[in-house]
Amino acid sequence: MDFNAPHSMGTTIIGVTYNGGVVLGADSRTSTGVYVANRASDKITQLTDNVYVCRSGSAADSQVVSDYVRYFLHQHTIQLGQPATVKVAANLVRLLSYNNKNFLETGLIVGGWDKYEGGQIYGVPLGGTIVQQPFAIGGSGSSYLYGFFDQAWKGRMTKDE
Amino acid sequence: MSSIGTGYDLSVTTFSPDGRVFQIEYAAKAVDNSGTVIGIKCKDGIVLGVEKLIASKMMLPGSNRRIHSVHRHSGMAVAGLAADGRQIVARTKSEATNYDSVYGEPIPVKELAERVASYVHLCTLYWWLRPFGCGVILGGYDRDGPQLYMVEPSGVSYRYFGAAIGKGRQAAKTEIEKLKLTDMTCRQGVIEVAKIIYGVHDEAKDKDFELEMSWVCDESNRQHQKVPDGLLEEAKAAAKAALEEMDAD
Repeated sequence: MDFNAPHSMGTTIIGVTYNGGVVLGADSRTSTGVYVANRASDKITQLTDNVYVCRSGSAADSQVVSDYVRYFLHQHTIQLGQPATVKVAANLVRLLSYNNKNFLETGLIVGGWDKYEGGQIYGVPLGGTIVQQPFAIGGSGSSYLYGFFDQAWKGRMTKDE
Repeated sequence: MSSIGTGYDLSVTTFSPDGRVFQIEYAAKAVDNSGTVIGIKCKDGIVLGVEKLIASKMMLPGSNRRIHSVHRHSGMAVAGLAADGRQIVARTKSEATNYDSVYGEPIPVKELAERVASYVHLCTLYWWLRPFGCGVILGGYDRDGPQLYMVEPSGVSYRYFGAAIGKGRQAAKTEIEKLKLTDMTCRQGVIEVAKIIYGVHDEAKDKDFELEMSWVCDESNRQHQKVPDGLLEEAKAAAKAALEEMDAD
């Protein structure tokens, strides 16, 4: 067993919009090779009161990116005098992802709510693209879900749905 | 109402015994001697207007613009020393585009005004810099609606419904106060601004002037642009007619 293999998250992360906002979901397994390093990890991280991010890929990389973005958003909120928008949060995430693409390996889903556009989901995959989507899936476990979402997704669902 | 600084006015880093910084007040005088600049906030946008005094008949109409677009959604009208104004406009444009590249959204007008004010204030803190000899009126339309700010040479910036700087500002402010801005659309606002500028222009003291106007409103798709030629001519005609009516009394 290779205990020195990088902690990777072997993850499934999902973000969806619905008629009242957004719902984010993630599994809780962090693996090092085949060993489960943490079976209760929290892959949904808070950036501000109204914006969260789902992390996948390298655990360290995604944590560091989240920490930087949380710091920048905090300063931005103080300067603006009002909560940051989801778009701004997602843009900061992608600037870090894109400008450091040679060093980072992390796919993120930014989701939140602001008073101007309501609930929004932005996917920021490996290369640092930013794409606003009605729903987003990510992580190595998401490949099994593309077919399911294609068939089952509909817009403006209720919270229970 | 001028007061002499005598000794306390040699440097912008010197306070007078009664707590004034005379250099900043003198900078404001440079603004007071320039052509009138006004801005109003209507219910669907902002209108900016400038009384551009023409120094010489040789100048091409439309040159020496006093109103500049600083971003898609906002514009700035400058009064006072033109070269100083150019510097402020350049800095504002740069702040606006920089914000857009980092945060991915157009800069909120409030934030832009704060940055301009900070920059102007910066130049009042060091003895090896002089204060800007110009005041600016910044109007923009962002997701919180249309907003109007004015920045003075001291670096203070306030948000206004209507603002005026330059020679005819007292008379202009009186006229603006008479307007019912909350009910007015920008189309109507353009006519009113033209009337005010023609009204405050002093035929005796100054030579000719050229009227420069711009707007940001729902009609212009929330983009800052020059008032369309047709509407501008209509405004000028209405203003001249109003003048004649006043003279006839």
